[in-house]
Amino acid sequence: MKALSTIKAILSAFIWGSGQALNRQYIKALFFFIIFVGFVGTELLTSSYFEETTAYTKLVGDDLTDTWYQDNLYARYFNLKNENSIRANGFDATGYEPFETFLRSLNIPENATDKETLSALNEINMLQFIADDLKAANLPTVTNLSTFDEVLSTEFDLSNGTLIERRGILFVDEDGTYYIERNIELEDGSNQKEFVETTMLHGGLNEANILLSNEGLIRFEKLNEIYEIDGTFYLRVKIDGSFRFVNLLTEEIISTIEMDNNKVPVEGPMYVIDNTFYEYYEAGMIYLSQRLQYEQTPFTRVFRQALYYDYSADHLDYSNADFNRIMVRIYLNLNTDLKETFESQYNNFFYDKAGFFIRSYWSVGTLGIAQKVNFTNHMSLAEALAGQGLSEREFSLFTTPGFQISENIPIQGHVSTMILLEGLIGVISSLFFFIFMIWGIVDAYRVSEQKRKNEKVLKDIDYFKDVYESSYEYIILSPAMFVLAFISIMPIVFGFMIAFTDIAGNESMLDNFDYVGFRNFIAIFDFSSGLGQSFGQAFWRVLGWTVVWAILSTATVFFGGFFQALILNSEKVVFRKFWRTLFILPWAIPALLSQMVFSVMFKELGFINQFLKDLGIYDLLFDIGMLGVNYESLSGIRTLFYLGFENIQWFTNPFNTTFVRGSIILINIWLGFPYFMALMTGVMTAIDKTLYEAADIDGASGWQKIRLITMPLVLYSTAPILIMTFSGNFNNFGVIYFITGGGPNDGKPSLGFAGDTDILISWMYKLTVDYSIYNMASVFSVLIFLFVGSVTAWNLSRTRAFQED
Amino acid sequence: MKKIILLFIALASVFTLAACGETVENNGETIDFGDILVPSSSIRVWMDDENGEYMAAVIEEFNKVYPNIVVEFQHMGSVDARELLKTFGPSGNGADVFQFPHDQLAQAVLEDLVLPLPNSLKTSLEGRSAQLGLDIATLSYDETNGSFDPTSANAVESLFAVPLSLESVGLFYNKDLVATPATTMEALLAAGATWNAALTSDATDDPTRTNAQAGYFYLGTSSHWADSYFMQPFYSAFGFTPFGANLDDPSAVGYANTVDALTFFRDQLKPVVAGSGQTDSTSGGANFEAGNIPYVIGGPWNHEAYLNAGINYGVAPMPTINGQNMKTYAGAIMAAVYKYSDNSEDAIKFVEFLTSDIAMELQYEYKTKLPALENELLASIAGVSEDELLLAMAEQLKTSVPMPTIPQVTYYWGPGETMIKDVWNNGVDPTVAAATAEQSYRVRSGLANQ
Repeated sequence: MKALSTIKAILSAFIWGSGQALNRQYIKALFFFIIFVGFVGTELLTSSYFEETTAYTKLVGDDLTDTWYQDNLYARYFNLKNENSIRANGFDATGYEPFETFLRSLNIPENATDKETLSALNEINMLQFIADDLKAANLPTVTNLSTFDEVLSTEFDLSNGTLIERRGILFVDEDGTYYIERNIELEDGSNQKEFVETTMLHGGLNEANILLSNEGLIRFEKLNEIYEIDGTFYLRVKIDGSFRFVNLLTEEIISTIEMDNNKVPVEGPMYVIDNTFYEYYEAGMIYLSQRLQYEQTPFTRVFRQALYYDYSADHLDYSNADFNRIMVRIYLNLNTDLKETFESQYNNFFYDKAGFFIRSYWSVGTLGIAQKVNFTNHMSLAEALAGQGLSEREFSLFTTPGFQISENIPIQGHVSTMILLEGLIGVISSLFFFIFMIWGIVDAYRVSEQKRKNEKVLKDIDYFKDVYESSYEYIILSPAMFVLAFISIMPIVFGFMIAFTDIAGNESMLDNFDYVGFRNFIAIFDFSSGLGQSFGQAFWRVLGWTVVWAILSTATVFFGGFFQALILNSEKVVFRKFWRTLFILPWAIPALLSQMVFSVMFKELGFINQFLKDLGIYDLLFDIGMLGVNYESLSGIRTLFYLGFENIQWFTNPFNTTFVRGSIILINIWLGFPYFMALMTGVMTAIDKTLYEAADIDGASGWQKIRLITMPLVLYSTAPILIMTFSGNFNNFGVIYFITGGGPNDGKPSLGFAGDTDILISWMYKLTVDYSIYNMASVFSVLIFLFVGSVTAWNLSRTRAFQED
Repeated sequence: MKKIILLFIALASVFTLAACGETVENNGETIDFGDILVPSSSIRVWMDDENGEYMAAVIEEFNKVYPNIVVEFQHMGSVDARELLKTFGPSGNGADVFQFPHDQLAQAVLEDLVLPLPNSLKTSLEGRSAQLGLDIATLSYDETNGSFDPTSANAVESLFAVPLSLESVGLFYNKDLVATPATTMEALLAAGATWNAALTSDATDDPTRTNAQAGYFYLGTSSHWADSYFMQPFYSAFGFTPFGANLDDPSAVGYANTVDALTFFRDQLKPVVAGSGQTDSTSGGANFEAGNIPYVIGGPWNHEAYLNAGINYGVAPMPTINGQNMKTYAGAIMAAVYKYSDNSEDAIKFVEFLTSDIAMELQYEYKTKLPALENELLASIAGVSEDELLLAMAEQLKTSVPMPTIPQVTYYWGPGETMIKDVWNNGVDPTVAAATAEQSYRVRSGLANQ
């Protein structure tokens, strides 16, 4: 039954070793099963499948615990209720009605004190109650500022009211036209200021009247201070440095009013309807840099009181972080949308619950989902929960020693780079386990088939011996492969995947970023897209130069070396050994050093220029107009011979880039030819002398001997190295980066930060290290890999030295 | 052979496994649980303090006030700290408190490394810390739209770091070469022309060379002549500060206003300080250290080298140009709390402690830095009031402008440097160079906004 074998194979995919057990090979089964246990065990042990996880573990600080709410908070409430001092508490012996209702909903009888019945009170429902209580007591209201009548905003129509903008800086001209400054974004993404006509108090913009400068205008600063005298409202302003008051109805400016005791406390937006002023107040809203505070309720006062006694106790059991935590939790309970997002992002099944392997696959697939958050709006609860000012009677927590609230409570979120790295580690590790799984499946099937066909089946011990004998080399190599996977494969895959994301910019390393598919690759071909405009065009420019550079620099050093070797090999040359030693010297100096030296020597005021000046070559150059002429005045072929203005700009000439490129190729000859010279001298000495003798007898000329004997033989043995050098020069970071730094004209964003001598590798380096544009750099590295890899492979496969191998 | 290798692998795995199973045994020692039960927390601090003496002293004092906070100190160069925190932070190995120089605040905020400090701390520092330092460390931020624009409707100013020490460049003069330092730039440049043409007194060199030929230009800079930080005194004299008068307006980088200054650089400054050389072709700092030139524009970080070289020098106020003051940038070394620190509460306590008298005193004692305190409080720091070099700098700081700290400042320096280089080295017209710089700045800051 073939089906039986298949079933066994499938079974052993689910429980490794089960197929073997069915085949009655128990030792083998145990072997696979132990690995299976290791695999599943790792997954389970690193997970929190069986634990309750909450998003709030990401908040610093500890919970107050359920018992605190039962023992301290409820007890405090209970005492206050029975003290029955209604004036101070806001509730009497019947208790605070919302809380009593809440207790009833939990089936806690009135005046319960024993632990058993109170156990239904816990932190979660208490925090929810406090939030609900605050919300109910802090519905948005509208206050008539003359009578101070307060009504719920739902019962009052503000929609036809006019908003009074009572803070801000305006500019006014002589005719009394007001202008407001604003930032606009230009097409290139940068900012510019402009001044738009507006009204003095009611905002609104007149787009038809825009000034580009505020010259000649008078500064008019509204100070956000409202005064009321006999039903007339005034706003304090500062005009050209002196304080004035504006009548909010007539917009009349008067110089002085009686300020004392007439200030009206207004925090929310202020509206005027039919000459009456109203204030809209919604707790939690931010208006004019102020956070409109929640007002305390009788219950939050009890809560604060309970906390107050704990915080002012000498042994400080609770830290500020604990309090911040409570505030954020209550704040989230008040804003259910935020709470849902927070809980779903920070209590994600795959990230926070799952074990090592499942989390890893999820991580690689999604790069994390939790955006970083920075809680600041919990500060609108500060007065209700922590108290106002330094009043001990009001149990302000600020009077307790060392108490402080953090205005910012940031949570890191999922850092995609970290997530991806951890994910890759998990995925690669799991692959090693899957090798065993596949082995197990194949083995279960094969053995089962062997049994069915009544073939000889190896006993377990013999089987392992056989495996050990036949794949000894793999077993011995496996530790190396294991290590290699992490130190070599993983970084490569990481770099590769980065190319498909939108990681770019300063923060991106520490941020959550996403996959963008092939967008970055498409940008290289699509010059109309934002990325393509700078990077796409720059890519082809840089690639073009890189290819030219690779070909020219390789060809020059190769033939330079060949030529030099020919000369050295000629018997007419005297002191051949001396010359050979001399020429090989540049190769013996560390390349980095000679590159640095070159970059110093060829500076504009460097040694070379000084030398040329002293020789009088400068005068010559000035005479023929290669120096001392403005580039703009040149045209045609002469632009190619522009060397600089005052000095020869070997590496910095921003106009004549061909010249700079030429210079660097020439310098590379000096750096590169000795290697080929040494190599070819060796090859030439090995050429059979009889070939030349035969040629002599046949009457060949010297040139013919070189062309038909030396060259083919030398090329034949050095061609693979030629290709290697080509790839090497393609990525010759040192010569470019240390001599010209990629310049001239580098660092311009519109040109993708690529200078005129930048080759791909130096450009990538600058993109990552200096400009943090990781994704594009990664795209280029992928392309370099494909380009160099394919050219090299194609070439090598066509080279005879390799073909004969 | 195979057997041996197999045996080896087996042995190796046995040992590794055995190591895992090791347990701690009680060898009869009595353990005092009292020490363990005290709730203690720990913070890690990265400061630039190579031999650790300063921090050891500070931590000792800190623990007198907060005995339950264990402070772990690691030496970290200021620039490294920011870079390393980017990777060490998320992996949980980063510092809770770290130090960086003024010009990196915006960058650090952009890189999401800095926790805004609580308002209560800000209030307590006002009147105590030097106002300049606080200005530098303060950014306004509008959380409703995530904008750093100070004109934004709900912008709130917050303090991002605590200034530890203040610094500013100054005019260093060699007392052996000039008796009284010049008070106007015009006088200085005139004297410079004479000096440059005079024969060098350096006997080891060819005695027929002039000072200029020997590279000993009258006035040097310890940086290079295209460094916008060092050139700000010149700019200020021509009425230019980047980002508007308050140095916080991202739309008003204003390179166009540098044209006068650039013309001055090209026509008057360059001939005296560099001859026909490039912005970086003279090494003013080294020449001053060797006693070869009378003036150098340097900062407090140069004192150590100059004093070690035995130069008899003083620090003079910056001269005037056309009667206008040369206002230097005030810079500050600052300590900040890592944004995602697990223990920001204690970290804040630590940075607050760093501004205390005792910590400032230790900073002066070990680091010879000007404490970032209000002038009247400086007297209470032992030793500062006798230190002439520091007092001269404190004097210079009175007229200084704070470094701009809006995030866009990152994009200011590069184009600024290229601009001066273009004018100075390549003979580009100042107007053209300024326009190019403006364009570069716009594109870069625009790119960052995408």
